[in-house]
Amino acid sequence: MTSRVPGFTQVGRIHSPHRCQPWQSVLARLVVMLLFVGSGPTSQPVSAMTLRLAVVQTHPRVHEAYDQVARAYEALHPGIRIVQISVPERLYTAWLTTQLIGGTAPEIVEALGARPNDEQAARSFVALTHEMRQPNPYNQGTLLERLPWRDTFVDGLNEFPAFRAVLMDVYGVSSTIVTHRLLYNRPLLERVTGSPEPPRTMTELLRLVPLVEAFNAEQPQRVVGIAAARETGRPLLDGILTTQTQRLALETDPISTLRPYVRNQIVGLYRGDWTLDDESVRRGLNLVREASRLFQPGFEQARSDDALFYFLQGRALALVTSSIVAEGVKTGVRFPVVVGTWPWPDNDPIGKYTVGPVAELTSGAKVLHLLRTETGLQAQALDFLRFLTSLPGQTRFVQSCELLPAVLEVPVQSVMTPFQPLPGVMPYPGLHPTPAALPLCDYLWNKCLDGLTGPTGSVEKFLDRLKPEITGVVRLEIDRAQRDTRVNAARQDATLAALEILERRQPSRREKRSKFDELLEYQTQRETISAYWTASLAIPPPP
Amino acid sequence: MTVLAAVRAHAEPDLDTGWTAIATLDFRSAAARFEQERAGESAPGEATYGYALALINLQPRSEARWREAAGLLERVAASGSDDHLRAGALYWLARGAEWHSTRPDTALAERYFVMLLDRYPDDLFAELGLGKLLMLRVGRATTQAARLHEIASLEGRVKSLRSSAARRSFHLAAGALCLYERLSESEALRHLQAARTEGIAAREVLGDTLAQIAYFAHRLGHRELAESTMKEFAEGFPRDPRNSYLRHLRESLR
Repeated sequence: MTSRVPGFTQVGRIHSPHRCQPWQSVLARLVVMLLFVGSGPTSQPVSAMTLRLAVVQTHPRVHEAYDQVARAYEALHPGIRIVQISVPERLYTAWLTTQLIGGTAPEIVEALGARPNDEQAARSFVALTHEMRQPNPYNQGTLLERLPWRDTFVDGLNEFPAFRAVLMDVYGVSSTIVTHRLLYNRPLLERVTGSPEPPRTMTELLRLVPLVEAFNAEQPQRVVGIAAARETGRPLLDGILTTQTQRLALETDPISTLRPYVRNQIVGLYRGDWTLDDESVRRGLNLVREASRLFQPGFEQARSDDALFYFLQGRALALVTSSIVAEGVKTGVRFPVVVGTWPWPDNDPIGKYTVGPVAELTSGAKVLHLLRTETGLQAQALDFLRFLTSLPGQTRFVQSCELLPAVLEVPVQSVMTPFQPLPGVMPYPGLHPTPAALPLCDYLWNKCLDGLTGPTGSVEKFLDRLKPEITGVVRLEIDRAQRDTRVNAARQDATLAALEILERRQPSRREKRSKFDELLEYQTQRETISAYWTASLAIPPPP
Repeated sequence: MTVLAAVRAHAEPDLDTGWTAIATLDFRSAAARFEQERAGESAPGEATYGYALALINLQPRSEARWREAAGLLERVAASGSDDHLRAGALYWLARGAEWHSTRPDTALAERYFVMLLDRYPDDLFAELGLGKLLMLRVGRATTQAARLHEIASLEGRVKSLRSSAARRSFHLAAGALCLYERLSESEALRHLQAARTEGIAAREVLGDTLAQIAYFAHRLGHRELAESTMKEFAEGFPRDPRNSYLRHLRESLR
């Protein structure tokens, strides 16, 4: 059963059949908000054994999939009922915070963004690390029956938000892996290029630029190469830029853990270990300029819905889409579509600085957290998560809605094959002067981008804008990170003091696993990084 | 049961409640619990120690809070409590001078660590302090030679450390410093291997260390070590995206 707050779907609609006055719209939203507040999970007639699962409102298929698994679980456990609460993305964080403060939060919630912080997470979420070391009982009789629960996940639950490094604990399970691909309008692609086959390499993708321009010169209605939004365009352009800086990334990584430490990368830029004038950086920026000509004008400000609208109208050859919504888009369009992989540099000159495709195993997942609630249903909620992420549970989950499985050995449906995460060669993307993960860098990139991708843009113009500001932004980003390191150090020190006493008094705690040792090692790792930043920023950057 | 024993039997679980609250980052409850227990202390002891550690995390964090916590820790360090608690108080005073004060004083932190190592050389906190002292001294050194010298001179004390966590922590710090300061890749590799031999507890840190050993062993031409570590990484971390790159390196060895 999916419990949706009345009116939510109306608010979320892209195209309303009736135009309404602004005051009507405001009133409608107010009513919806009141309905939402008044009809949350607590006001529903909930039986003593009702588990509540809050998820971000997304494609109906995803909600159907959760429902299917819930019904199967209910059949196995008569007396337990599972209710799904679907909350719009824009309201989700505020809604969850309110529920947590009010003590009315559901037993299971989906993760969204960086919230809550570690302190809130430690208080609100149940750490699953211990359970992750045991096999999942619902995998009994399957190929996964002997594996610890954590090892049955495709992504190993190694990344935030499933794993919180500061707390050294697993706080969530992946329900589906999320990857991104290009979805092509096949007939339009054939009309423009003469072939229904999507580009496989970056050279082939860039060949679309003159072909689209030639096509537009002869047509009354212009088309664009790729319909992109702010959140999908940047990853594609970043992916193109960083193909060129892969070798530089490996060469300038001071510690070579083969993991991406974006702050170490920008500190390297500050120190002059690499520069904006390196040939590979300039070549990457050139490729970004070229590829951006395929995007619709103003894509930097566009929302996903805007990009989708372009594509649905048949005005774009391709759409950047995720594995979550792809099947929904495919069934919603009136033309045949074909999925294309990310374009990849195939040979010289653009393959010269490239190591290989980037591994996608940690590209993203939908993650569910188990909450500490006072409903007394924590054990049942944990059991449901085990069922959902067991081989039989996941098989049902992905089959009913065509999603990528988060669990090993679950068959991938043929329609999802093109979305399967690629093992790649390179463990992380190459260097980026302003990584999107860092907010001030992201701001600077967006501020300067028109100098690169605008009609009169060029690499020179972009760099003229970027160079005067980059060192200041790196300093601000690192200062911010250092403040976080200090706050974390205080938390960790207090926690270490507590664990030292508790593990000494209760040796059984230590026998199972010394969290003290783990936290100490993690702290050492973080503090050597912090010392590196301090030493690097103490020296003025090279001119 | 004597009155004292009854009081103790009652007090211990209450202190554990405070520590458990800290372990789950619930500093407000922890501070309230320890503050309550402090009333029953005849001299600054565990409750004062716990209160000070909760205090440094109470919001809003401030220098005044740290000063108050430091004052309490100094009283514990000077009290007639057991040596381990006094050693702990010195350790956290050193950590606080470096990390918890809004005006970090690394020289003061270093003095506390030295005092700790002199007074309680066999205590766990003194042993843990060695790795922290290493980071401070290498940070203070002005030349590459001086940094290498600091590492070598403190490393002389590592063998006598009883705590495996302390030995591991020292080698992890030394390995990372050798790399970050561009001191010596072969020295870094030696320290990382020493840390690994001690048995790294944190899965994520183990993964990073194995990847580093494999990478630098390959780079420095230690073919056998590179191959065996790549294999160990693949077995221990089968779904880690670093496997593909390590396989790529492994193939280049053949």
